[in-house]
Amino acid sequence: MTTRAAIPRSDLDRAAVALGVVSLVGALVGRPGGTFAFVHLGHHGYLVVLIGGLLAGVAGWLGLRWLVLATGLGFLAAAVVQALLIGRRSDPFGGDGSTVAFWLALGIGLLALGLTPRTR
Amino acid sequence: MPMSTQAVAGRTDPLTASRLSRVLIGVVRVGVALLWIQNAAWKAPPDFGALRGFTEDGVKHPVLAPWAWLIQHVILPNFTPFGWLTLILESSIGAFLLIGLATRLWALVGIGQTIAITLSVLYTPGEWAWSYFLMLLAHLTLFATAAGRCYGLDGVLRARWLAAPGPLPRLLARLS
Repeated sequence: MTTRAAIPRSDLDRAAVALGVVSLVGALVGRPGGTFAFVHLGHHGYLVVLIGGLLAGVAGWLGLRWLVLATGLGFLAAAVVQALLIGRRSDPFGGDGSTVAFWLALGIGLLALGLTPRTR
Repeated sequence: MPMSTQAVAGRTDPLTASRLSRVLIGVVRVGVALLWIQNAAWKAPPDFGALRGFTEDGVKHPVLAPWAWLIQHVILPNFTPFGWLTLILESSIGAFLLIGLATRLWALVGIGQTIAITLSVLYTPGEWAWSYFLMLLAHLTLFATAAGRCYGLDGVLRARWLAAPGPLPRLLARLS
């Protein structure tokens, strides 16, 4: 018996894995300040990209369409909350417009993949 | 057996035949997306102070008289909704270009927003005019090459949109 993990067969699942990787990469470039800080993340913002990235990766790897959709909805909700609370004391994420744009990208991307019908 | 003209063109067309070209188109798309994403950071509600300063430059250093009038009499008196519109629009351009979804549509929106920015700050002292010309050219390139088909979601979903019945998939195929 082999234990080697299978590469996701569907291009939709591979794309979900790619978006998960993009989310995790966002944690690397999410340092505040600096010319190459393309996305700004607060402490809880890091949690969003780390957990969301892992969930998207697992969902794509295992072909779990419902989890792709749920993770996309999560990113979209986080983007909306971040947009409404930028600069306020009650902001749980500590981000700004760049955070909104990044999470919007991941949310819309995962939703587009999750909502696309699978064909055999 | 002689090759058809299309087959020969397919072999020699660098946009379709070369993986390097496809990677480079993807890099340009992501780079332009990061430009919008990073610059969404300083469009900060609730007062959008920095954005207001740049917008006022369009009145202090007018590029086009009707545009300066529009800023002075329509945009500045209603600045908070305008600030939100700018934040949402520029965040969306960055988001859609980053994942390469409906890329040709969002390249067009990027062209429109670049023109609006150019008409506001082109003659502001210290601005480098070629920044805005290059922004415009970069978006034209994204549109012309349908850049989302190179390592973007358009490339994953377009074949399905073309094969699916109904107006929405057909529209998405056109926008990609």
